[in-house]
Amino acid sequence: MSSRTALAGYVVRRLGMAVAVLFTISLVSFFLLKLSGDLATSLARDSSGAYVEFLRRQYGLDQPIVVQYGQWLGRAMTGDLGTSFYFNEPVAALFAARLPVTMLLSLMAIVLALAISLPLGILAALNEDRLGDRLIQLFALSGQAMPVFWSSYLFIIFFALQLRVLPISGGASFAGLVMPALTLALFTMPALLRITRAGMSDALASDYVRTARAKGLRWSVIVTRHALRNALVPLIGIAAVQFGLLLGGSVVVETIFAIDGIGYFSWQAISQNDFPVVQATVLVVSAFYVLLTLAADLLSAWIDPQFKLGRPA
Amino acid sequence: MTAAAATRHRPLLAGLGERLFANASMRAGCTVILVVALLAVFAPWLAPYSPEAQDLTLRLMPPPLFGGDWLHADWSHPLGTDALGRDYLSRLLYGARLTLLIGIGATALSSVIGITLGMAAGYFGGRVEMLIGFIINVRLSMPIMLIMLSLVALLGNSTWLIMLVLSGFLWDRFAVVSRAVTMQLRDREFVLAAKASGCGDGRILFGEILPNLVRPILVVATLEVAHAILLESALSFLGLGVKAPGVSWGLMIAEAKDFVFFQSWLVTIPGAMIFLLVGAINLYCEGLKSGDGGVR
Repeated sequence: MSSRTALAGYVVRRLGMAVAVLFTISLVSFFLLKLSGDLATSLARDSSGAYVEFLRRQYGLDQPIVVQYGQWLGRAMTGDLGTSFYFNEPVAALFAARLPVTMLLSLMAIVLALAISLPLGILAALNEDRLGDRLIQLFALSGQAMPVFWSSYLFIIFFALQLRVLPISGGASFAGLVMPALTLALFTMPALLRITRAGMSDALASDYVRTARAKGLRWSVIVTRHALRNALVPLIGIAAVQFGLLLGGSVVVETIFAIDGIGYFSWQAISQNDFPVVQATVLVVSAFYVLLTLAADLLSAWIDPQFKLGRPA
Repeated sequence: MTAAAATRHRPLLAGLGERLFANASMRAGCTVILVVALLAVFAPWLAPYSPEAQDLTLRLMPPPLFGGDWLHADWSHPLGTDALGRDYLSRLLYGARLTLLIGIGATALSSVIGITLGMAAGYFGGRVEMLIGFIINVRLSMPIMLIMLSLVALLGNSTWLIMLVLSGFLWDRFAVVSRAVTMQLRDREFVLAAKASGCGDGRILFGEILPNLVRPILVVATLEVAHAILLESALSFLGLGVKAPGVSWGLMIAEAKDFVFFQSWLVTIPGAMIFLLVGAINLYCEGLKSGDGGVR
């Protein structure tokens, strides 16, 4: 099999999987809305039965469920995610206003996490099974064991109350995003650190690194040019996954630091029974995750030399 | 040699002690876990007060160790009291019970789901594997925090429901690992021999393959207990997990969040307990992985 057909086959299969997953997720979020009760009575609030009937017909709720799903999916694809019960405004607009903050927060978190875990992961691999490695692994372990809400409060107590260098809350300013991003970074760091360490340690033990050493290349060049490059391939996938998880997982941090992003927004919506909002968040966050992991997989397939040799993993 | 081959012809429980405490990380982790488990089990005998007994005249009493002159301090409440004057030590001891129960219960349930799916995918391959791979992919793409919060908000937050919802979302790693190990074992001699001697698929899966899954599954299980404890505490923190009069460490932090500035021990103590327990479980897991032939 030539490398091109192998790659093409992989791309087609991977795309098919992404579409199927997206379709299933849309079913899940549609039924989440259905599970939350009768849309017409929620919309009518205290009005009479006739009005409820009118709304039911107006919104097509008297149609069979398959038709309802089809209509809902059609609207969702054109960007119409329904109307929030609580705000009485289109969900898409409310959502779009809050997405950038969460995106920025997650991006800052992932960049911070990479800034911590890349050098530490490399350092750990270079000192494998020695004291430095042990300490770095202990650090990763502690990051993994910290409940996000607890580390948030520890940061608040330390940075805002003791040192008074950062504001306690608010996503309006860049400084207000530093602490929440740091909290999320601490939570994301262990996975990235482990994969960097494992990748580096495999690369350092490989034949091409031994050959490079035998040729007399400088150690720093070997580490940065040769070993790191190969260690980065699995890191792409994990970083993409972690970024996707952050978008849906910033609920706790956003509520603590009072950041008006999609996490806080959907938590509010859940407590107000505003399910069109919840459903839209589930749909958008999942879709984002699917696209992100798809892009990461295709990118790694493209980089991975195994594919160029026509031997898909 | 893989773990599977090494453990294959040994009785399941042979040298269990030696395998459970093989290295320093495992011993350290296990000690903390055992202490917490004992405290949880014996909470009714150890706790000096009822976890719900309120004494409004003694609200927000700081722990004696926080007060400075701890020799002459009042030690009637060793960890102080909360905003309703309830003894914090007693609440912490009782909180360990629900925290552990939900963590272990959810993991046990999700392991059943995950192992079944994983073994079926690895053993039968083909269409079955594709379908199960697809289910795993769907699960991974769902923002679990949001969906769990919605489900608990819609269906009510009883302890059993929380456990059930958690287990509905924590089975994926079990499935992935048991699928991988089953695939490796599918064409091995002992499986082929069993097949040749006329064993059915069920007999092979549960009699021949499942015993070899024990060790890798144990690694995943420790990870997932830690994961479940963190998720439960986050749910409780957001007000959609364990509800009063139940006590969990996450709920204790939720109740204390308004006091974080002036009575910070209310947040730091239960948080430190979660950190310690989850850290110990993860440490144990690391030890388990670094032992011979563990699954990474």
